[in-house]
Amino acid sequence: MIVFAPTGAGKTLAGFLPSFLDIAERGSTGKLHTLYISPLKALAVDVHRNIATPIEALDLPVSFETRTGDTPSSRRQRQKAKPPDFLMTTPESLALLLSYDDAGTFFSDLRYIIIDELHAFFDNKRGDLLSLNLERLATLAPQAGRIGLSATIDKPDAARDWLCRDGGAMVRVPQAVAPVIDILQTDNRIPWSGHMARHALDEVYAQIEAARMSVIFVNTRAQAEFVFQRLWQLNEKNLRIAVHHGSLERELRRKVEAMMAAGGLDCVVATSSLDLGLDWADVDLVIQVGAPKGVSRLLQRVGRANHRLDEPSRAILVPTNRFEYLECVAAQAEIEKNRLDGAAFRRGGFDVLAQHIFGVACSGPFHADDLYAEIIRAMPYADTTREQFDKVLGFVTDGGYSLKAYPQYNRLATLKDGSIVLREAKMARQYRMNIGTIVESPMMKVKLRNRTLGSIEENFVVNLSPGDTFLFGGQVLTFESISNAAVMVSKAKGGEAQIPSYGGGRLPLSTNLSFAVRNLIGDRDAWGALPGQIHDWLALHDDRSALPDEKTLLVEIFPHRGRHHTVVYSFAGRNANQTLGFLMLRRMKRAGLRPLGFSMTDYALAVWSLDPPDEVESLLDPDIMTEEFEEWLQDTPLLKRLFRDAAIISGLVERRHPGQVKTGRQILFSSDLIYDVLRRHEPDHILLQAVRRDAMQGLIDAGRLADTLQDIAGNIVCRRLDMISPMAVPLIMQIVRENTVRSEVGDDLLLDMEEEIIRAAHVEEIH
Amino acid sequence: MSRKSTEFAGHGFELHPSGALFWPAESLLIVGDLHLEKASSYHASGQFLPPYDTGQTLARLAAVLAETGASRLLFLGDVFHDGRAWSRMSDADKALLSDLLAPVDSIWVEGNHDQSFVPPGHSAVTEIEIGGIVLRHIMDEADGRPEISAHYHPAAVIHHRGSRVRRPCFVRAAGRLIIPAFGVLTGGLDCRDDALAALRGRDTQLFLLGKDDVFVPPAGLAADNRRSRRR
Repeated sequence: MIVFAPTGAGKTLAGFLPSFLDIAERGSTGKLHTLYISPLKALAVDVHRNIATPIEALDLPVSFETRTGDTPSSRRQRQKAKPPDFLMTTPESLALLLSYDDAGTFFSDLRYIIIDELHAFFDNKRGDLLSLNLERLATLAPQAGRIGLSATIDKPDAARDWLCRDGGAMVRVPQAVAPVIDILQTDNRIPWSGHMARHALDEVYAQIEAARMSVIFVNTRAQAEFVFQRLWQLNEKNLRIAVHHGSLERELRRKVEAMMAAGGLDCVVATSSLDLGLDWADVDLVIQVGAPKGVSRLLQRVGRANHRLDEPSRAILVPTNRFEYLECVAAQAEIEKNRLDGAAFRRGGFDVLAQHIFGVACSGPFHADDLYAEIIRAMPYADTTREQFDKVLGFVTDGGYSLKAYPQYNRLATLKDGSIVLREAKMARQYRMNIGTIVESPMMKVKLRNRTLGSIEENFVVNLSPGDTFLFGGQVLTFESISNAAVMVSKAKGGEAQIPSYGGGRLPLSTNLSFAVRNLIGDRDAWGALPGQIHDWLALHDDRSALPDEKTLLVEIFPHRGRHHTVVYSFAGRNANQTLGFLMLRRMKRAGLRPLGFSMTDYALAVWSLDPPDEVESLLDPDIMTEEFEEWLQDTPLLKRLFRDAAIISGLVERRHPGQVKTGRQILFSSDLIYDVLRRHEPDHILLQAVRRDAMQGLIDAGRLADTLQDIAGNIVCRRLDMISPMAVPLIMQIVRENTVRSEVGDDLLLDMEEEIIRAAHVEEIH
Repeated sequence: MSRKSTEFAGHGFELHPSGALFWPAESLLIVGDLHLEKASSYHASGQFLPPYDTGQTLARLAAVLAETGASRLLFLGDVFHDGRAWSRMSDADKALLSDLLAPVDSIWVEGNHDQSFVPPGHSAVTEIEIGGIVLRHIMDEADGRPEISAHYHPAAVIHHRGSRVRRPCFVRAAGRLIIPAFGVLTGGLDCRDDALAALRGRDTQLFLLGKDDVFVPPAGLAADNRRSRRR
């Protein structure tokens, strides 16, 4: 059964009702009765807290506990010996429970499986893993019913199929009152680029002061840190403001959640670590800093305010730059028209399947035929062929290379009766250390003397020098040293800090919204409703260059800081723009223009080169999708990036855990090098197939790009400018910040460096 | 392939983009840190890295030997990733190695990973002096003689026109030359690391490996140039 309902309709409680009835009638059996699965640890904890009220009110004889990655091992041990009636957990903890050899007994009396925020599982690898484990549960406990709780989405039938392939009931609860969503009006100057909303924070402060309790949602952890710190500087009224994001130490996060639930805070600044399902009735205002990136996500976040069906939720959008202002206007309009983003469903990843097969082997012997029959019942894997399955099984066994190596190291062994077992029981440890599909970039612990404040990306740390300051957990910290694989810091003596540039939470823009923004720019009649400074900005751009609209594609070429920039306003979304960037890089290289790199947003792409292109029609010809695309796909660094994740998820290499000390001074191996070796010697290896398949369904977005190029053929407006244009500023600023390395253009860059030194030496000689 | 020439301790050398160092006057090719059978060393722990690195590294070595026409080949340590690498090596790869060794005189300097293992029929030395230059696996800071060593897998990051590139590199400092790793599956150490503090100096020269070229950035190696590139 699946329940579609807007936030605040009480769907979580509804999901538990069958369990309440059943257990009231039959009493506790002393075994696991109901499994509640949520995509967020915080949500599992929150539901655990909220479910206590009805259970106590009904005086039900029920024990209920959480089990997540944060649960202490003593309690986990006890839960395995003596399970609670209701267990609230995450997909990863479920996978772990299923990998023990007593999983069959543990789940044998299971009656109900409740999956909260079901829509959060359709388009990602966590969902792949969950779908496989639901089928595992169906084998172990065929009597258990599935209850999915979902936000209202545009493809309810597909959602039902994902949850239960043999059909099921659908319950739909309509939205009673439309939310009230405003854009923050400001007298301050809205910047052309940037994402920190510095200009608006005094007005944001006034809003949170006027509200009873507010949540400020941001898109990245860097924004969370910055906004939180600025608000404290403005905090003359001593409001109780806290920050919540995924890198903070778990105790700090739990403390913030508990204070929030108890009404002990006036405002919390949060990333997506908080935006699903948490139920705080006292929140009466949601502020979204930065563009919402999608209508469904915005509605989800707005739904956090005023958790009651009969009153409207109130939200304020705070655009951080002028492009985002347009995006906010477009999002408002889409919500009024009640146009939801398309829910995306994906084909399951083979890397996830490999992890699952390893997990199944850890729990006991299995037959390949049975397991194949089981996994194709999961919708993401429904079209998996037996040949593909066998290849993945071969990969789990010995790596699956055509060059056969050392059977004494195989993970799996086949017994005489045809059943497959783990070769050595101790190998289960490797599986359990690597469980899960979320691959973070390597993290390091941040320590203030002996106290751990949280974790931070290693890539950020390598760019720090002793004495540098950065924001973390709302404090300005000074980087001191790296000691025992931890980042040692001290408290800085106040002042401004350099902001952590960690990437966490960069969201792609939905198709609907990006075209809505383009149409808004092109429709001069609609500008009247925009504030003066946005209006002026568009007019200035029109004056200096031209405006993109529904019918034409604008391209600009201008010099800037010793490079030539070619900016394409495609409005095709970040992923399609990225693919186009790689393809244009190739075509420009071939044309001898010495391209060096590119940068993209959802709206536009900027490619920079040492020489300017003579014309752009050939660079954007639809044939780029055939000529360069195939060649590029063979060799794209994008696949390399996906391979890094797939190598870990599939168990090819072990996951590094925060604070884990490297065993040598040198990096053990880089998955990029492994990728190169594999591609050269075994281009059809199942893991490379897995990566290509993943890439095609999202990151590359080839379909959307091909459509865009077809649409614009013959409609290109090219403007050659003396200098950067207003709308190009955010793109070019991004280049300066990102310092992208592109291995395929690295040699050109080094050659140019040499030539520059030679030229400089020559100049010295003359003088 | 285009090589760069450099002078070290009064002798002329050619730096090869593969990471090999060629000494024309001695007809000697110097390579270090091949780390053969590195991938398979992970198989025992259940990490099935693709077992093709040995063949690829040896093919690369055969190509460089043919290109330079060297009659002597000096291995500067860690040819094998561990002491048991030989027992894991395939017959095909062993044949590849013996074919490429057949026409040359080979000198084997022992490393730290290889646990002094050399293939049957060969013997290892801890170090060797040629033309007044001592060649050993790990730099010995206490020894004042000119020295060529390997071991650290040096790599450098170059910032230019707002972009950055990281590449393995040769490091030539006063009296010391360190060569990059030759193996295809070897990581790198940033040459600004404290482990290479002895090489710092205004006249230290890096040579970065490109696909077909060796690139020469401005001279100098400091503890850390990260602060200076801040805007």
